[in-house]
Amino acid sequence: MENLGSLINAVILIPLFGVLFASLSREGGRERVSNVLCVGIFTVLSNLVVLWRAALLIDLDKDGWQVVEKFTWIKNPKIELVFGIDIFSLMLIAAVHLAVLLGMVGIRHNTYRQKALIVCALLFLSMISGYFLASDFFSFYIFFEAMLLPLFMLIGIFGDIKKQQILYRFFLYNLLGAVFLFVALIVLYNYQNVSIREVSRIVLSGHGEALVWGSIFIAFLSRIPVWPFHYWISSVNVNISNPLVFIIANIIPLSGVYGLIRFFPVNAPEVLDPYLLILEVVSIITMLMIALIGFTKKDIQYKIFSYMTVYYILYLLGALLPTDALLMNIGFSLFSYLIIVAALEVLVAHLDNECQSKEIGECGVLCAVPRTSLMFSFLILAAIGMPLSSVFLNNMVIFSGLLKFNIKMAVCILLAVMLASVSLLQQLFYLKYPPETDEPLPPVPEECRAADISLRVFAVMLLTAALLVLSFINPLWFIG
Amino acid sequence: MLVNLLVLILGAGLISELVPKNRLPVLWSLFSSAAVLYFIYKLSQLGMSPDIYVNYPWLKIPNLSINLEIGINSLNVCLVFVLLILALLSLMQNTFGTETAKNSLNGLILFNLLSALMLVFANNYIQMLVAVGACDVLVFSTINNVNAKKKYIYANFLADIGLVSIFAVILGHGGGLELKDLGDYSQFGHHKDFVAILLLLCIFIKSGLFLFHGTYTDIASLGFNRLNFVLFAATPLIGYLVFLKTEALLSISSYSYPLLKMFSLASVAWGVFGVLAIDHIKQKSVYFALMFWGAVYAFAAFGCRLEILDFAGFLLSAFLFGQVLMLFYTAASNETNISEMGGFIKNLKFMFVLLLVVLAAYFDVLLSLQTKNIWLTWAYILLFSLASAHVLSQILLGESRADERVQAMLKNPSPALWGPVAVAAAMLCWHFREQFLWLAAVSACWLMLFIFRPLRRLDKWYENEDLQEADYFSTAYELLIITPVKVIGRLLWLAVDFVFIERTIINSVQNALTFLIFLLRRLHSGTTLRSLLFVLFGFAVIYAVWRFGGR
Repeated sequence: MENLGSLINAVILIPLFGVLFASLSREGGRERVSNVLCVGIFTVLSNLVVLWRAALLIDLDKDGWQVVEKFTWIKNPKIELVFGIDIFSLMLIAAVHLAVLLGMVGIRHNTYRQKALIVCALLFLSMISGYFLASDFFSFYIFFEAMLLPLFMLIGIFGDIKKQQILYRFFLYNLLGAVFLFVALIVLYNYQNVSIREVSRIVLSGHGEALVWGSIFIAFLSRIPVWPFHYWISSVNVNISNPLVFIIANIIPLSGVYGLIRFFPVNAPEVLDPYLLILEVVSIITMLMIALIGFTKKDIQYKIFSYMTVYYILYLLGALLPTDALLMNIGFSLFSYLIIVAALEVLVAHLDNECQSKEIGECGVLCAVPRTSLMFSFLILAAIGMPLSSVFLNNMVIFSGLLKFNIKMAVCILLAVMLASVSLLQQLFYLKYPPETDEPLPPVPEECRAADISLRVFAVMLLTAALLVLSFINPLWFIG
Repeated sequence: MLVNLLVLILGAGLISELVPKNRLPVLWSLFSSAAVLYFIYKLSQLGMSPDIYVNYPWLKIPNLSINLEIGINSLNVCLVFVLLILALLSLMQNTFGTETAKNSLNGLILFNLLSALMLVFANNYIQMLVAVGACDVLVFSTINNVNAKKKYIYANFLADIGLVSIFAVILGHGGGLELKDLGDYSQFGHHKDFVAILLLLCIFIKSGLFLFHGTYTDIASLGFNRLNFVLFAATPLIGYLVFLKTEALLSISSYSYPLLKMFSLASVAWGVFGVLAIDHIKQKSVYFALMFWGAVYAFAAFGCRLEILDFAGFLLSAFLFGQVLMLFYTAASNETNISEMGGFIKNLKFMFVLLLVVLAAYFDVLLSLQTKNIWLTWAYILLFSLASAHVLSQILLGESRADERVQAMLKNPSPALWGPVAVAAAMLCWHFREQFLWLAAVSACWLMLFIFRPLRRLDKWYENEDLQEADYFSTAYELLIITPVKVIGRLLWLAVDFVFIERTIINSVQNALTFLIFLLRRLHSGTTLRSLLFVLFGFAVIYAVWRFGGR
């Protein structure tokens, strides 16, 4: 167990060491892949190995946190930083690492301020890993806020023309969430300093309970694209073309979902029941609304955002059911979902880049790029829930929970999921096939044809596809 | 042994997919055919009552513990045989036909065979759903036409979501995973009408019954062998297999069977109309398939579901009839319009004999169904005879309208193409040979219809361009479903995102902040008076805390 404890620390510290090395490494390099990118990829791979080692040490039969590492930070008032791990957190950390790794593969030819990008990405990885491992109020809050810092910098550096407006929205919404969470956690700490899993032990007065839990609600919701909080995330998505920044920005809602999963539903007091109902209704309306908007929009970034939003809210609603039996299914499904979206975004960024640099239209662009086309089709089919990843079976279990709880609500959710998936299919066909004309199309000159992904990237994509199929066959394949 | 055979098919499929698309296609096709033939041979050694059952614990995740079950017994052996024969016939046609990317198609046929077999073997609905999903992905890859692919995946994806939802409902309400326990759902289940109706709709979509046949009308642009494979050995068959596996669920709702009757009869009727009205030979084939699937479901709807052996024979004969149409198409140098054919009997005498053998097999099988439901059987025989005689009479006896090239190239296809069809038809005739007199009578009637062609006046439909190009159902879906959804989405974006959030909330907050900053700046101008004001305000706060803070 001691060994596992040090592995947990290593998961947070390795990216920080990576940050150090990346800061010191030369920007650019003799080879096609720059030094700093190599440092980034090596750091993420090292951390994945550590995570794998940690996974092997976890006792699957045991419920809850497997290990607790405590560090006394301040003696008076007593503030301890406590870390723990369970298979759910581990799956999420691994998925985030793999998504960021794919993002790094996607930026290998992007030389614009690559060092800043890798440093911020590694810093983000460290912070979000800390967040998933945090077990006490303070470390939870620190990492919850700290992960925004690299994202803020990334949007500032890599955002498009509207980046000031986006930063403004980003700041506005996240400040709101931060203030609410801070106040709620201070009040909770003032009553009793316990771990997050034991938070239900704290007894508050009627109004206090509603205020504290309401604040926690708003804090986490500010990160999730639930109406009206969806707007800042959609703005970020539409205005960022760098795949790594896009992936990191889209992992932020995961922090909100994770926060709600850790605090609710088993810990939520009864006083919150009416509010939970309101949240569920608002979530479903948001799902339907975003799915409908995604269906009409022609921008693929928005379609991916719409798909991600619908799925995040699906997982959120699954987690809010009055049972924690679905937690592992949500974890397994999230694992594939994050990887699929990251891989898709890498391909989309490649196509976008090709279309812009060669001044060609997006329609039918996949015709000329068989490797990209193959992977794109695979990922879209996996994304919409065909039996190609763990999304298929685990989503079915989540649906079963939702259908059992409230069939009307679940039917609306299914409608939204269907619409979001059809939007992705729509995009696949738009990219894959040129408009049909009766006359034969003139031959396209070589210089106006989009270039395919390189063999190396194709190999990475094939590995990703294999990983997804493995997760379908056995979501816990990595521990046998 | 069974597992080894399945691995053999998987291996052959992988090889076909991995070898370059057009590298030694005949060799690889023969290799794939040999693998299937070996499977048939080993299976035939077990006889008609084999008993093999293998159960692998596949997956154990929270809330789901799934076993992978593989088993052949007397109940499913006929289905396994017919699946293998359909795959073999498709592979053989692919070997010597004009298909492009033969190796890839071989691989897809073999993988599809595997997924269909996994569905036949399934005893739990998770295995069934996985097999259905896998088949969809494979058929999606098999269809190599844009519009057809689009329609196919949209429709079947929706059907898959529907199927997943149904079984999610059952799982959520404590139903087990076993298919044999589905009948108990009527006792403990909830939302029974919802489950039964949704299940039926999903099956209709998969099988391409009336209202959902648009999924398959566009695949007429595929190669003929690919088309026949999709129509008879892929998704529509998967739909029917799902129906067989889940039929117990239909009895939980009083709407199920009336709905099934309505759709199946409408499918047959629309199929007949399509065969008579549409000029394109491949589309005719699609409508013949619609008639066939409609008839299969009609038997089930009227309480006389076909036995597995009968169904296997019926399916194989319908497939062979499709193959015969394909052979006429090949003989006529890929001429697609029936109206552009005619008078081919002079050059295609052998094909006419082959047609008679296949029709004899078809009628033999149909006549054996009389014991199930005599009215349905004879109605179908009549409709099929009218439609098929009308089409084939135009091709063989009609006034010749073929262009010179077609006439010059007209010849019987090679034995490699007709051989497998003839062998399979002869085997079917032999197996269902019991009602010779009835067969002679029906064949004579068919020949009369063939010669006199009573529906010849309907030929003018071929000249009606609006009718030939009409796609009523797709237009209706576009107008009734897609367009409203797009309009609502656009309105929501404009009203909620743009006007309400962007222009109202965010701009208001921004303006309020700007105003606050302006106010504080004005107050903080640095003059003595303003500083004094702030000092006084600070004292006021301290007083307030001192005065009221203790309470």
